[in-house]
Amino acid sequence: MMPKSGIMLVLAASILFIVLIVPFANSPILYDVQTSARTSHHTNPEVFGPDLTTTSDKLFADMQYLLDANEQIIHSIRARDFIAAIHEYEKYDEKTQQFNTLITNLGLSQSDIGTFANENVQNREIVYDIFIGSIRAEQLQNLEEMYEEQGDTAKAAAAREERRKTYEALSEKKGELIGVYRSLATISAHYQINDEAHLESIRSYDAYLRQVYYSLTGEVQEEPEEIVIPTADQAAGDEMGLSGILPDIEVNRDRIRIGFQLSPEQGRYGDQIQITGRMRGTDVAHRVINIYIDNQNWATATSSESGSFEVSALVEKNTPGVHAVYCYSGASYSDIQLFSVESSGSILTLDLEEEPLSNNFICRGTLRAGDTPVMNAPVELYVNNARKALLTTSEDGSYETVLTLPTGENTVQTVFQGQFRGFPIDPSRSNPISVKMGHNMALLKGILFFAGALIIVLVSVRLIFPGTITRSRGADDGSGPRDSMKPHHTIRPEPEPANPVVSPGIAFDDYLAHAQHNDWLNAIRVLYISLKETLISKRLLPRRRSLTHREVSRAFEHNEKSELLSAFMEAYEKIYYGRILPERQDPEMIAASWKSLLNTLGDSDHEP
Amino acid sequence: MNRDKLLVVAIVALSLVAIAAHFSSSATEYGRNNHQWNGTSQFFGAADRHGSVSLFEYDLLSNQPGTMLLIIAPGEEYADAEIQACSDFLGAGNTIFIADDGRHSNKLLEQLGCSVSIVPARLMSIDRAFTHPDSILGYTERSDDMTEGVSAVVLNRPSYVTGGEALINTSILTWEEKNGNHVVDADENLTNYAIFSRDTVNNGTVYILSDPSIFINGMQSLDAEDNPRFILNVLETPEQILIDQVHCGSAGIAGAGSTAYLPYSGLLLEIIATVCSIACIIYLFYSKLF
Repeated sequence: MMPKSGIMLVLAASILFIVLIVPFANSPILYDVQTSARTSHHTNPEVFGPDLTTTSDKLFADMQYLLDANEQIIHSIRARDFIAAIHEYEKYDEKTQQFNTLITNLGLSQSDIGTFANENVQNREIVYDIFIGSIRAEQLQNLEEMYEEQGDTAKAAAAREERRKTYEALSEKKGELIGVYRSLATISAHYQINDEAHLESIRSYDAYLRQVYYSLTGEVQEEPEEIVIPTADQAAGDEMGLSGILPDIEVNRDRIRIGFQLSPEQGRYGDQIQITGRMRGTDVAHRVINIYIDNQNWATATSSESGSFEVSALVEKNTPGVHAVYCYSGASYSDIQLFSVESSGSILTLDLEEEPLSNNFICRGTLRAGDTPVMNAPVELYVNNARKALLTTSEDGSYETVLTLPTGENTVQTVFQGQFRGFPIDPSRSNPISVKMGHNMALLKGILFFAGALIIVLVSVRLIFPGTITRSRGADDGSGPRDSMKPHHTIRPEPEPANPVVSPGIAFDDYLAHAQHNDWLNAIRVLYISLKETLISKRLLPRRRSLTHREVSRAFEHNEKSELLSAFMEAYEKIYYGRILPERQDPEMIAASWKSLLNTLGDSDHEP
Repeated sequence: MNRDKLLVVAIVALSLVAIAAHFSSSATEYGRNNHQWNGTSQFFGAADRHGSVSLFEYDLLSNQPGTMLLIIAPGEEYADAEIQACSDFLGAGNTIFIADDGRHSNKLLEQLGCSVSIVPARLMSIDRAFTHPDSILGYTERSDDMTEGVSAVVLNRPSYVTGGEALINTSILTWEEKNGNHVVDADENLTNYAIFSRDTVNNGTVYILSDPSIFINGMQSLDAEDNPRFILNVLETPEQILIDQVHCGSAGIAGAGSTAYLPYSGLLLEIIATVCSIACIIYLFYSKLF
């Protein structure tokens, strides 16, 4: 390759090198915009993500379903079709959970739709209590009828008493149902959702209660009057809104009584609640007492000789609000004590630790309610708003998993749904962490960067100090396209270090000696060195070791000797740098031009 | 010219193209010569094809009957003389279309006597086209020439407007995000927000769109919902369109002649640089330079 092309290559390599490094050094705004996802005015639509399927239409459809769900359940209960009722309830329960998850994901927990979700959860629990209570009332009625047929009036009376208590509990549920309806109706009106079916379910439940009442009292059933939902003001003086609708029933108190107390009567997640009580009546020693909260076993105690009992229970998965706590032992039930659970704030943390040489991240964090770690709580892991994993906290409230992130910008966040998962803890989200996963271009860029720098250095060194870097391949053993251009014959050996030439005559002798052995490289070299030394001695050239043959040529560019010099220098460049064997007449031409040149310089000591 | 030289020239030429692409792009927000996602080059290209005219001096607004002045994301306040020119412009029965997210248009609107004002805000909505919270949807509320054939548009981090006749609203499940946690808090109410309104001022019509981002290249490329139709309605108005180049973010950048930019030059840059480097290394390997 000609040196001129080499310089152009250096130029090209240098430009490429600059292109590669400029993005890191210049025009930062442009590159920020190219790579960033947003500016202060808008977001790059390329990071908008996939189409979103959830819209307000779907949300409102879900709300409508939840409002309508009561009607069919209550209708089935009223018809004593409990199998159908439980099937309807299961669907309602599933939809409730889906809805709660949806609004947590949409960030609507604190809105009035979040209130709707909470009230719906309350409604679901009331409906469940109604379902359980109605089954129990049905069973007790069957028992009572069986005992009456057997002539066991005492057992029949006990069953009847239990049925009366169940009726009272069911009656209270109507008040709760109305309270929830008021709240749901207000919200649904704001979003123009029809609540008629929900209202109809309350009417249906009222009719059912009348059936139970008349079966207890034996009175003839009257035509049901249309229930009027009292307004909030009207209900203020009548907490349950029941006065005038259902009469009280006489109580039979001839049985074992269980009394108990809760200390304290309210608590938060993680609190220990002390339950102390006493059984009164005969045969109360060493009896097992089950303490239930909202129809779920909370604790179990054993009575002492005197019938007293004591046990502690933990506030764990109890939703915020008022809960009904009761005890029973055998067929004896206590009165209901109310226990209120307050909601606690929660803090969910998230840390990402990158695993080296992979796209994996270790996600870990903790969930705490105040200072209390929350155990066995479900924590959802979201990547770009899509749920990737459902994790469970350990005893110390921590969670951990390994996550593989896709290429591009990713946002990782964990979510704890709190009350919607049955915990008396506010929902919380960890701070979203943005992680940008590149195409692993860094290594490629690094290699290119290094390769570019290496090329520039090598080419520069090669051009500035020719011969200082040895060739890795010979001129004739390469496989490249230039190698296929065969020279006339090879020029060997490599040039020896040039000895100082003392006189042109000796130099010419050396030239001939080398030429006879086809060592043209050293032959032409000794002539060149001799010429250069002569020019230096004549003060026609500066005494500089690094003087190149081009500089020698340029020194005589406008001189009368330039023609002679250029003829010799062309031959020198062709043979020494191009390694092209001289043609048949070339040796004579070289010798002639060299002799003529020395003659013009006034130095004739060139004859052997 | 031999093969070696041709190759070297080709490498140098490609390198120069890459460098040109690198240095000639503009990153100005709403820039008409900005071919990145946040520029408006595509919209202005379409506007040119529809015969729009750039307005570089507000004095020229007079004697322009049957004209619509389009102001996209003004970057500075309007001088009193310019506001007066706009008022006279409206007095002639003309139309002004302002697309701004509330930075510099409210003074103009107020002094024109327009009942609409733009409230700078960060809106979020359940109703959005994509998973990203900024891609909220606006729904046509009233029919108008500007909303003909448009039922919904995808917005990009819009503000909202108050007053006037709302032509496009967000859905009711939209809230103003105040603390940046992307969820509805107790003090953040769900309600409809007007995005695009119309008002009659001084015998003329003023349209106010609180989301100028709808004109950026990224949104043009999105081709979602009825956005293309909405843009077409703006451009195909029977009135002559004048585009403000005095105050707008689309003005004051690059030269009018700088049109030979490469879109997505960042990606091209890397590809070109990589190809050139590899070509250079291969060439050097076979050239026996070493």
